[in-house]
Amino acid sequence: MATWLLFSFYGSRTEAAAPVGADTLQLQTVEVQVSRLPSGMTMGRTGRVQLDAQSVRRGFRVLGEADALKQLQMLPGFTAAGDYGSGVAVDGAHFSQTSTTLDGVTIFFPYHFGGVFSTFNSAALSRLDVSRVSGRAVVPLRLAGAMLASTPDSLVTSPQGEVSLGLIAASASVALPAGHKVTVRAAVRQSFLDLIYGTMLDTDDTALRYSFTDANMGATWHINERNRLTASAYCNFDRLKFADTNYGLDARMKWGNAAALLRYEHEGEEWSLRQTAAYSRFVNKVELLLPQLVCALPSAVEQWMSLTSVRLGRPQLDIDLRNELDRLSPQHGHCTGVVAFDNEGSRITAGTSALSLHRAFRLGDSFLLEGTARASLVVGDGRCFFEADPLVSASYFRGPSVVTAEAFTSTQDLHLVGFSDIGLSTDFWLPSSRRLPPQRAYGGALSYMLNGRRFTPSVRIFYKRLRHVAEYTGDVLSLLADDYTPEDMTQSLDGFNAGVDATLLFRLGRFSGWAGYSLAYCRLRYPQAGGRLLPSSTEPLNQLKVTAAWQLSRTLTLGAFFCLASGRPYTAIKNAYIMAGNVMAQYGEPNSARLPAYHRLDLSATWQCTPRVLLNFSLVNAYGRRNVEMRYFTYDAAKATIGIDQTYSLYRFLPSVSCSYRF
Amino acid sequence: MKRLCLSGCAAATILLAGCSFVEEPQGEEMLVIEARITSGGFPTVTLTRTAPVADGEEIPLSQIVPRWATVELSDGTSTYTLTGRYDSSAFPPFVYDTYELRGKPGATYTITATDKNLRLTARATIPTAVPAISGVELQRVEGSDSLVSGALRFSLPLSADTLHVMAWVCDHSCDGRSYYPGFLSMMKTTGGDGLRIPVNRGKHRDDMESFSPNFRLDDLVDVILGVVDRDVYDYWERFQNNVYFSGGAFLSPSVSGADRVNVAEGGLGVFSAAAADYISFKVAPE
Repeated sequence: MATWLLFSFYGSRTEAAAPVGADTLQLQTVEVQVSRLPSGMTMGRTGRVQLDAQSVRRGFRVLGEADALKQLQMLPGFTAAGDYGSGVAVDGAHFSQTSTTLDGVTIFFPYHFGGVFSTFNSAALSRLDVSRVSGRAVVPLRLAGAMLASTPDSLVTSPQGEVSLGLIAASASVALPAGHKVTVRAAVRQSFLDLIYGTMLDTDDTALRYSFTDANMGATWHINERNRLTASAYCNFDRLKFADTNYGLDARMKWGNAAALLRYEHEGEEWSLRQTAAYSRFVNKVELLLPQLVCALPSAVEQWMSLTSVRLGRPQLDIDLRNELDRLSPQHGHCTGVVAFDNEGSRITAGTSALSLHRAFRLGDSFLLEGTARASLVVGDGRCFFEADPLVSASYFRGPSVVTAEAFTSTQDLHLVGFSDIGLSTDFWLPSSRRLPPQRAYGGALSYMLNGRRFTPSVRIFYKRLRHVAEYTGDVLSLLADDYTPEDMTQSLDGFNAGVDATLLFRLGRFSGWAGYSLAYCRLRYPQAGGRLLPSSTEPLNQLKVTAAWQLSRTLTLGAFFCLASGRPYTAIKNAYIMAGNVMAQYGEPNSARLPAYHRLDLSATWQCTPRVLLNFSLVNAYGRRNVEMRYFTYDAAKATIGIDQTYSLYRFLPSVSCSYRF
Repeated sequence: MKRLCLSGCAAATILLAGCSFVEEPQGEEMLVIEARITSGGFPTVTLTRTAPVADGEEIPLSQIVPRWATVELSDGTSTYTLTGRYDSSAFPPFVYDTYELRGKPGATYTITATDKNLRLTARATIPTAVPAISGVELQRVEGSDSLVSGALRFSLPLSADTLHVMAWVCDHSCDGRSYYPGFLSMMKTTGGDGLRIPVNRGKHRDDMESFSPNFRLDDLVDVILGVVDRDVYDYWERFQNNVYFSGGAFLSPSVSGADRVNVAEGGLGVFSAAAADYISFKVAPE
């Protein structure tokens, strides 16, 4: 009788399986059918990705900072809305449709400004796991994927740590043993971006000042071989000032996440238990500064969460129960100065309870069938929604090849809306309600992977039908009205998300990397366009990404990353006209035009000077491509002409150097 | 070989499929009207043509200002032809007006404008609730020797329905003779005595680089305080949002319904009919 080894990818779903004979169970080494990339990325058969934090620190750096989410965007299918945009769109799905968690706790906005890097300090992470479909209740209810960041929880026997210094930030992390059973960890990162890059980020029309801080702290107590207790806390603060003379409008923004968790784990012979209690908060404060007028537009979200995960028997059955209680403060406004408005806003309480069962079944020697069933109860605005989400995955293994078919439905309980197109911290969360029912997706995917020694090609095709996707139609002044209700300014749209991506990994001696192409559509039916299907603001369309690393010696590695992508969709100006002494724009249909194609080449060199010291040199946008980020109309008073002008990305010829020391 | 060809065809199909599905919008040329008639006041109309803008092109202002348009105003019984004239203080510097007709509360007016192949009609009714200005409040801006903020005190008949109030401001010192909607000089009320509305300068072409909503000492200021219907109020609110509170991808503009109100298809803009009171003052803080 054949025996199967099942490898759980990150405790979410069985990722790889291999039939082995009963007499081989004692082997020390097992070949797993996933592809490990030179950068430390591991790619699974359904497009799943795992990034090892150690490798992230040795990989590409932007402005001297190693960042897991930024490196994720070097893969096809993972995109951001340009150089100013925050958020990672997975397969073109909106940023909010992919959950981001740190040790299972929701982090509502894990980005620093401009999408340069995430708020996750790589020195404090152990790994990042990314899935494109999330079926189990271990992750929050979202339509698309899940990005799960984890911090280390192993014991250390002697003090360990790392100090890193770059051109925009410095960080330090330390792990200290406290007796034989307890390890305490702390990490902090502080930026000083303005000192060196401040003037480089200024243009004739704009000025940017920015700083941020990240901090992680945690302790793990290995009570005995079977029981473990973990407590951790995390926070980040961002402060930004932006002045744009094109609009005579200055903005001051502050945002930050805070999270804390307590987790108990028991590992038994036949069963295991993981119980987590957590709190997470995101607060955003934005002030619009006009002459003699200051408009504050705050928003916030708080979440209390409990997660119980039980693993039973062999073959194992995974049972997860996640309960969330949310307190949401949708964005509202108050102004002081030449006029006074004071809209106090509202606090809304909502809740979600989700229970999931997951099991993998063997069918013969070559087939693996996995099933996940999730039932969710979403409560908001005095109304309950019950949703059932099955996820079925069937894999066929033949030699080094594996073909996987997936079918699923998914639900999203919270909606992220706002008046920015590129995913800023000003976006705010709304609960499901009668007028904004939970978002739903129904879809499937088919993927193929061939694990070769030198080349590993993979292809994935997916389709999702989307329902009730929330999109905001309000503006700043509507926030100030006494009778403002966010639901009045939010429309619920249907559409679809479909595409294909193909990746070729290669390992040719000291030369390795990957090339990937993806084509993804995300179309929504806009009522203002007569119900026509138009691109969503996050639709990536074409993307070609190539990454290569050349290991010159044991200590020196050169790297290059090239990206060629369709421009971001935007709502174009089709006409200009004059009204009340101002040049005004008549806009076309939503997202009906695209910015020019985006392309960029980044270069890096990593030198392991000594076993403890690592030096990294990076050059972002090495050939200085002027990628267009925004378009707007202008009036030239001297020539009495109206025209279109563009704002280009600030990231051109941006060099950086960083040094880290491990002990 | 066959497999290779099939793979190549599939890859080419995918690449071609992703080439271009999105068309650049093509702007349709239309007339744009900014018209105002107030109770006791004369009608005034500014006309422009929309300019289809494209990357790298510059549209001369002269190309979008109709100088030989026919503009007629009807009060239901008579039709009046408005005369076009050059006005260097206005932007664009060409306005149509007549001194043969003054607006009346409760009356409905229809404007028909024709320029070459383009035509539009706009219809509006002056509300019956007329505001009465009782005073001006002027206060020196803290930290400034020359800037002054202003507000009007006024009353309105009590109403069961919401009344929409806004102010047009003409600042002679820097704006010539043109009235612009005052910056956030808007409010909703159900009427009563002792009402107060901020009165600020409105942004226009001369303020592109820097804009101050405040008046300067010794400015001569004219204000039209008007009650308008909800559609007109909403139009000007969206206008203010787009002029003052939107920019690039950070703050998306109001797109939905922002270009047209009470103007029939074929044109853009607004016909503001206001039950109004007027005041002129010299800026000298108390």
